Amino acid sequence: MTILVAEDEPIMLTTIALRLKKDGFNVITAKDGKEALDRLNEIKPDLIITDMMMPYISGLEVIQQVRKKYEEQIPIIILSSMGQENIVVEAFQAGANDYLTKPFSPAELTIRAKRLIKLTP
Amino acid sequence: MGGGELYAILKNLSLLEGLFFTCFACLLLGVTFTFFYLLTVNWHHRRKKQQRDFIEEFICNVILESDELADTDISIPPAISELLTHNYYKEFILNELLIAKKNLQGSAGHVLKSLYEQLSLNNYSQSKLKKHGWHHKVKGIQELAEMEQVSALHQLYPLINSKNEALRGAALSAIVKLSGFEGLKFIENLSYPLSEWLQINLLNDLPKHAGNHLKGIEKWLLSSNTSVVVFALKLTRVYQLFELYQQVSDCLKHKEEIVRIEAVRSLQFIYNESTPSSLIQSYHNQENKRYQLIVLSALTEMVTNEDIPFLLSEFKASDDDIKLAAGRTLLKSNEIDLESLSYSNLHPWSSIIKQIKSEVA
Repeated sequence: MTILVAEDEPIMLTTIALRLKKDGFNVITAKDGKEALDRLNEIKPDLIITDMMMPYISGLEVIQQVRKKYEEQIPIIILSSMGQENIVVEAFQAGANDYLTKPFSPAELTIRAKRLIKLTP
Repeated sequence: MGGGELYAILKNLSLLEGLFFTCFACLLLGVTFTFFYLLTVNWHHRRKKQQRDFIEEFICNVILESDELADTDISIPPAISELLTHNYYKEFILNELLIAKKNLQGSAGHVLKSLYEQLSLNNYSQSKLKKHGWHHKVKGIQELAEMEQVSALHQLYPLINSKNEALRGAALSAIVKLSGFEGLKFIENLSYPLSEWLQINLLNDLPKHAGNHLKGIEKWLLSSNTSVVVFALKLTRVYQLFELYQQVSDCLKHKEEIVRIEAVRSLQFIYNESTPSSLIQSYHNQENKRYQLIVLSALTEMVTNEDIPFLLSEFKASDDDIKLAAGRTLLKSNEIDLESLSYSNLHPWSSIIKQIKSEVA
C-alpha cells in the first residue's frame, strides 16, 4: 500500500512518513502541493494525506486535481489547523474523505489511514 | 625559473605588456579566491544540512517512540549535546521542537515537552526574557507558553503591564495558555487597553468549556477599563453565562458605545422574554444609527408578537437603512406577511421587500 504525504513542514513530513513506514506502508513524500501533483503523475497512491496550507499549490487544489484526474476514488485525509473550519468544509466539498485538526496524534492518523484504505473498494 | 630571471623578463616588458600581465595576475587571483570561497561556503552549507537532517531524524525518532517512552527515558546522543553548544543549532533544535509541538498532541506532544526540558532549552527560553530587545523577550515568552512551562509564570506576570504592546500581549496570551481561566485574573489590574486582536487570541487560548472555573466576570463588567468590559461581555456570550444576564443588560446603559453594542451582541446569546423590551427601550434612548441597526438585527433571534408594532413603525422610518433592517427582522419573525402591508407596492418599500426576499431565497 502506497501513501502520498504532502506537508510543507519538513519535520512533520518526516515524522508522518516514518510513522507510516513503521506501520508497513510505502510512503512517498512531497514538500508542497506542486511536488505532490508531480508525484501523482508518476504514481497512483492508495491514499493521500495532505496539509491544507502549503506553498505554490494548496491542499484544496491538490484534492481538486486528484478528483479530476482519477475516476475511481483515491481516499484523501486532510490536515488542517484549528479555526480553519471553512477550509475543511471546502475540502469535503472538493472530495476529501476525512480530516484531522492540528495538533493531532500520529497514532490517530495511522488508524484513520488504515481505516480509509480498508473501506475503499 | 629563478627570481633573477623573472625580474629580467619583467624588466624587458613594455608598459602595455606589464599592464596586461598585472590584470591577468589579478584575474587569476580573483578566480582562485572565488573558487575557494565558494568551495568553503558549499562545504559549510552541506555540513549544516547534514547536521540539520541529523537533528530532525533524532526528534522524529523521539516522537515515534513516544508511545513507549517515559519522561526520563529519552537518551540524548553526545552529538546533540555537542550541537547545543552552538547557538545556530540550539535555535534550530528549539524551532523544530516548537513546530512539532504545535502540530502534535497526545504522547508525542508530551515527549516533546520532556525533550525540551531535558535539553535545558527552557533555561535558554527564559534567558531571552532578560535580553534587551523586546522581540527576543516575545520569542522567549511564546516558546515557554508553547512548551507548557508553568514554572515560568512568575516571570511573565510583571510583563503584563509593560509599556510595549507586543510584549504585553505575548505575556497575557502566555499566562492564559498556561493557566487557563485562572490566568484571567490579571485583567483586574490591567492598566492598558486590551486590543481587539489580543481579545481574539485570548478567547482562542481559553479552554472550550468553562465549568465552574470562570469567576470574577461580574467585577470585570464594572471595570473602568472599557476594553476589559468588552472582553468580559465577549466571555458571557462565548460561554453563555445566563447567570450574568442582569449585569450584561445593565451594560446597555454604559456610557461607551462600544460596550453598549457588545452588550446587545451578548444578549443575543443569553436572552430571555424580557430582552426584546430592554433592547427596544435602549433603541429609543439612543439616536446612534449604528447602535439602532445592531439592535434591529439582534431582535431577529428573539422577536415576539408584542414587538411587531415597534418593527412596523421602524419599517416606516425615514432612514432607508433602518427600514431595511426592520424589514429583515419582520420577515425572519414569520409573524407578518410584508406584501400584505398597504404600502408594500410603494417606493421604497417595494424594492426593500424584493431585496430582503431575495436574501432569504
